Amino acid sequence: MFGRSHFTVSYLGANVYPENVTVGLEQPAVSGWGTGKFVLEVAGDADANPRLHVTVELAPGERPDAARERLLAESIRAQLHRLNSEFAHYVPAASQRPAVTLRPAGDPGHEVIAQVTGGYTTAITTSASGVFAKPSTLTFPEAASLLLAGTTAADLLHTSGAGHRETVLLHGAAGAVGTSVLQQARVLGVRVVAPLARRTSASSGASAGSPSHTGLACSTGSGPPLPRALPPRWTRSAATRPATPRWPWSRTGPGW
Amino acid sequence: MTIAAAARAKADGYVFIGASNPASGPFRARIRSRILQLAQDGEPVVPMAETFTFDDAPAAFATLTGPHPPGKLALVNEH
Repeated sequence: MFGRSHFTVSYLGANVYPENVTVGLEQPAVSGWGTGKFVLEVAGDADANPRLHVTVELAPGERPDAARERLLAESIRAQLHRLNSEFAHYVPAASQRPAVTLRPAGDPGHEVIAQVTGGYTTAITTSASGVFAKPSTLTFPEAASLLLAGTTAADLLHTSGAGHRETVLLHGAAGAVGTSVLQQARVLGVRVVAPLARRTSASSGASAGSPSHTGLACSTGSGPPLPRALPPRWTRSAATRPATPRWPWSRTGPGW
Repeated sequence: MTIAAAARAKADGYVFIGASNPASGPFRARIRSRILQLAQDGEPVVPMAETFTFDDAPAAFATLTGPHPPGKLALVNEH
């Protein structure tokens, strides 16, 4: 909920609004240390009583410190009390002061990947079930490009029903989806014949991303004919794959 | 089957695959974690054609309207 303003937390009969917490963070005595990002939540204390928790991100170079946490807790309490009459009336005075935890900038900070609508933004709220850890092997641009093409390619292979050592004919193998089909087919042990135009075969994503498949690429029209037999390297590659594919879509493929 | 020519697929009676297909959405949602695991294991390599800063976004869209680029285009915060 870092930086978001339209979520409320229910606490001892009162709705607590993040906007009011923001006012507490922006008071002159405390506003210099933070980035304005925080997490607001209700958690049980040691006796399982509900307690309002605010985790606050510090500005780069600032360090967590118990005195600052106390100052912030009091600043937030004062603003909640002033701005939120539900809070002032329903929440017992002893429970009004939140527990504040300061975190260094970017901590914990996780690199994540998600498919979203409206991705041209600096902040977004999306369902947690669709958020994954970014593979550490990929750069951010690569990670951002992975899932749309990758799931489309998986869908194509799934729908084709092609099984281990069966062969599919793939047009457009040089594009992002085509390249992903080649790579996933290799994992599945599915053979791919991919006609490529001469102009794309030299610099294509297919050759860049999947060198062992380039032996299958040939040009259409005036180019050389499709290979009658698969190149030895490809055949070896397919043969070393497990006989039973591990992919979730294997149930639907004939012969799998 | 095709992922590009929906009208042609309908006219000629072959399969068009898109995320809006009833079976495709749930399948694609399911398969994401598997693809990410493969990526972590180093299997899918994502060919990148070019990255652009947000200031250069118009150039990115101009590139998209040209010949099919040999990889993905990405907008990035910084180079």
